[in-house]
Amino acid sequence: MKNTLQNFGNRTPFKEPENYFEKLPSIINSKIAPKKVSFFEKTKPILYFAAMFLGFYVIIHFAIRTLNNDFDSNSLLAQQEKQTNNTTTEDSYYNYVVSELDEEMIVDYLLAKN
Amino acid sequence: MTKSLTDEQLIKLLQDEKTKQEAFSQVVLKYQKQLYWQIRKMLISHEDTDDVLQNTLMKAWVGINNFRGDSKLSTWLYRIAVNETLTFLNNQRIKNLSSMLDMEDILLSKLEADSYFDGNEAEAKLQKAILALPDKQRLVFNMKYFEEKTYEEMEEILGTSVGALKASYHHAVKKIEHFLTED
Repeated sequence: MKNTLQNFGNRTPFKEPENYFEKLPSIINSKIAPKKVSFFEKTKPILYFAAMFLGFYVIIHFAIRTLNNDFDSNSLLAQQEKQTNNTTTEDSYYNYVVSELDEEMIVDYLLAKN
Repeated sequence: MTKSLTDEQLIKLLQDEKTKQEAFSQVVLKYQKQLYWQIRKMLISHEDTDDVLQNTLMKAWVGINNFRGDSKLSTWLYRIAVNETLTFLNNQRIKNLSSMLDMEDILLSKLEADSYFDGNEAEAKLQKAILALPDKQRLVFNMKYFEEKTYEEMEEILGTSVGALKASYHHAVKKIEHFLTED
């Protein structure tokens, strides 16, 4: 007999697993159902942002404080050094003047003034 | 909600956020068998068919807001299923590039190993003959021969002219008959 399509009919020679078409709608339904989101899940982005902001604030705060302390201690040292320098200059000038004077010059000066 | 809703009623319900999910469940119930068998005849394996069918339905769910009813709901679903099936076959081809097997051999081995194959020897031979066709010709043949779709319906789903579909089906029949009379 010649094998032509007329001899085969158009039955689909496959079967599906048992209850497949009963189960599939619930599988799809569970995939499309809106997921319940917890309070934490909802607020997570805000919490992350707040934590990041707090982190930046702490870092910047400490950075500024450290810089200020450095600046303060540097200026204090400079001021002290300046004062020490000034005192040294005044002292040495006084010592120089005194060393140039003798007793005779002082007596002459006082007599002239009186 | 009853099972007897028309496509027009379903489309209306799908456009309302409150009834969308329930309406889509009705769409799944209404079209799952047609879509399953269309994909199954192309992929042979139930497991692959299940994957592709679930992807098809999920794509339909995601794209349902863009469906404006320009075509029939069934046509739109068929079109997604066809695209998903052809994409799956192409991906399989790419995956198996390194092996010396071509897609026809892979599908043949799936057919031989399929525990859900329900046919006799002659039907197995017919399936082997169909598997020797190129994907699109196989799609046209399955739609016309097994599902008895009209060329106009196929034109809407595949976007190919009626003339081209007729020619494609004619060539497919010739090739299959040649295959069946070979030995």
